[in-house]
Amino acid sequence: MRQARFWSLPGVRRALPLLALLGVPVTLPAQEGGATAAAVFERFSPRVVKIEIVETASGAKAVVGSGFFVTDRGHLVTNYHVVSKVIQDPERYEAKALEENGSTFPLTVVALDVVHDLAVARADVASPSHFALHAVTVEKGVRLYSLGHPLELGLSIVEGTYNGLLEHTRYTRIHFTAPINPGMSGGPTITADGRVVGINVATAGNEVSFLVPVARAVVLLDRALAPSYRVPSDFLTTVREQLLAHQDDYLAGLFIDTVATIEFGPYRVPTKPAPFFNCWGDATHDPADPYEVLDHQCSTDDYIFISSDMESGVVELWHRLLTSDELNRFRFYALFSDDFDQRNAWLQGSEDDVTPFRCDRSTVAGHGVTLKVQFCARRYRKLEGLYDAVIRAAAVGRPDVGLESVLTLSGVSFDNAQRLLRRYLEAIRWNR
Amino acid sequence: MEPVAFLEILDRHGRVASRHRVDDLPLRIGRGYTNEVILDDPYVSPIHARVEDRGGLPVLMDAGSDNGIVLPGRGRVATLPLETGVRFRLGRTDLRFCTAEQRVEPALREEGGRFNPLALTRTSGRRWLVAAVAFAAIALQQGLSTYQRQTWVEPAGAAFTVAVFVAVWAGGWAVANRIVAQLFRFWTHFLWAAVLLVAFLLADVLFQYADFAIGLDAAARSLDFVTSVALGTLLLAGHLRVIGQIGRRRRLVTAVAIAVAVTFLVTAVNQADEDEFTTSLPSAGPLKPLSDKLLVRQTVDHFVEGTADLKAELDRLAE
Repeated sequence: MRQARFWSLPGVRRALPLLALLGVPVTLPAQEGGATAAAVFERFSPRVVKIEIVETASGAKAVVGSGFFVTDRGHLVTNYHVVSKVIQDPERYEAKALEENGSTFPLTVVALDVVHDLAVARADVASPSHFALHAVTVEKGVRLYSLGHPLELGLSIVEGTYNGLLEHTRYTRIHFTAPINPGMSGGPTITADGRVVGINVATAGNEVSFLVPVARAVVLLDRALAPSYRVPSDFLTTVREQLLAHQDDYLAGLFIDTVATIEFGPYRVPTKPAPFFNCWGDATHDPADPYEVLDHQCSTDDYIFISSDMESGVVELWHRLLTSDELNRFRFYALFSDDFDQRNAWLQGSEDDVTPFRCDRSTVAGHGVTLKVQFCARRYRKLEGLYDAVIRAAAVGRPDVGLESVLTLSGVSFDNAQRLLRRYLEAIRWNR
Repeated sequence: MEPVAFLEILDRHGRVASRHRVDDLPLRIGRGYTNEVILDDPYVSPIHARVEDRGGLPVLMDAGSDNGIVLPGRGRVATLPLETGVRFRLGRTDLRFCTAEQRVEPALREEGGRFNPLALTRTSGRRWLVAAVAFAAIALQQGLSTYQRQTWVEPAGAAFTVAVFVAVWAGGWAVANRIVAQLFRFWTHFLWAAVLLVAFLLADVLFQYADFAIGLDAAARSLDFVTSVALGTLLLAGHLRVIGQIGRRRRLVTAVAIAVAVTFLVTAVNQADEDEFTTSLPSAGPLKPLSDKLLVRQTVDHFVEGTADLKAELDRLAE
């Protein structure tokens, strides 16, 4: 049995200063007095349910997560990744909610925000009680309480600290210091007086957890409750449209006009294409090796859940400079060739999610450089128009210096992949 | 009866092991020393059979033997008229009767020209020179394809390991050679295999440089197949030629058939691996130390426009 999971996000983060979110902010003081976790649990646990995604044929649980009531008419908020199987394969799976008192009722998904990993579902019952969603701002250090069903151990409460917003993400995520575990996905994280601050979504382990800010859920719920709103008949189309719109917006500003570059040995290479990229680099020279390595890497952290085998949305660029005074040109190219071929894609996915990669390769005359380029792409099987693309380029023709460069794009349109391929290759230059 | 006839004793492959001229009849056949034709076969009786003249026709008759006269496909017979070419068995020995009219295969022609492995060992000096050049080439190839610090020991060790494998391969052929033609010829097989191995390595290096310079892409697979078959044929045909028991045409047909079968099988296995779903990228191709002036290059725009075909292919795959 599989539980709804969190994704782990790499890297160590700094918390940002407080930022105003949507709606009318309600600022809470850092010191809360009086309320204990026990009292919070006692008061608010009836508003939280366990969500199970069940395979209809076998009756087996495929996913377990959490959700919470947000209206008195049975509307619940949870994560998209908790209910994604019902969206992707509605013939095979169905969703149901289980209350603490033991009652069970079927759930219907009514609205989605795949980019922010949110879903609104509806149960055909009157909610026992519910959280009213409003945008809130919270000071760093405020005690918050997370509710959910970790590892199917029963409804639990976890106390932790609000630690601001993630710095290097385009889409805001709250850094919450508490041990949130699988199964708590979709559960609320609230203040002691019951204001929802965020929705449990992911963890990086070691009590580093992430929440979707409640403001995103407010927007989604408002849309779902609008009188003009019609529940889509085919949610896969909704997912596809949201992802396509997202990537157009996300990639629009990359590598246009003046491309940020750094000096990288005798080359200039693109770096930090947008503020939501995080860059790091290192030079390594193992005395046992007759060559030197210089690495530079930039990556986004806006992971988007596609299926339990696959994430999307991340853009990464990576450069490596190999140099050697010691190796003759044949041995240097043996190194260069092997190392370049090992630069493989880290992109995951199952055969149900994506096609295998198909590639074109060529030798391209760039700006003062000759590049061996391989452009590989694969398509999302159920989401027409969305692709993953990997561009591998090696600057060749010099006997003792080699540049390798890889641009990885996930969840993009083919047009965008082609546009970025062109821009990226044009941005790699000889600097001498 | 014909003035001259022969009784031929055959080996297990049906080839003539020894030949007895039949001048006078009757003629006795058996294991004892009183016979005109003595067969050293424990299943043959001391006086096993005799050939008599019956009205101008020689007839083989059982002389009260234990195991009799056996005709292939018919079993034991008491008498057997000996027509030219007739085969029969006494004990466990196969014999054939023939007259001077018996046709023989045309002689195998001594072949000169190229691709003659025997030329490798014509003189002792050449033998050592060929071995030294071949394994120096292998050591060089090994030495140039590693990028860790090394002394002369690593490439030499690698070449030695290769030499051991070549020796095992050549040993197999030499044993076959000994069985079939009573000659061992290990050195010739060894040097031939070593030379062909160098040819394989050289073809691979040329292939990689060509791929790097002009991008073989679609042609790569067929070129690889043709090269493998050609070199495989050359290798096998050379070994068969050293053994020297079959003619040129049959040798070539055998070698091509085996080379095609093996190459096809290897290609099919590789293809099956490639067809399996994977999230990793196919190889980007080799990088080689060539001046970029020697490379066939295109503009960025041209390359990007060409990728449109990929989209069509992926959309087809996704259906």
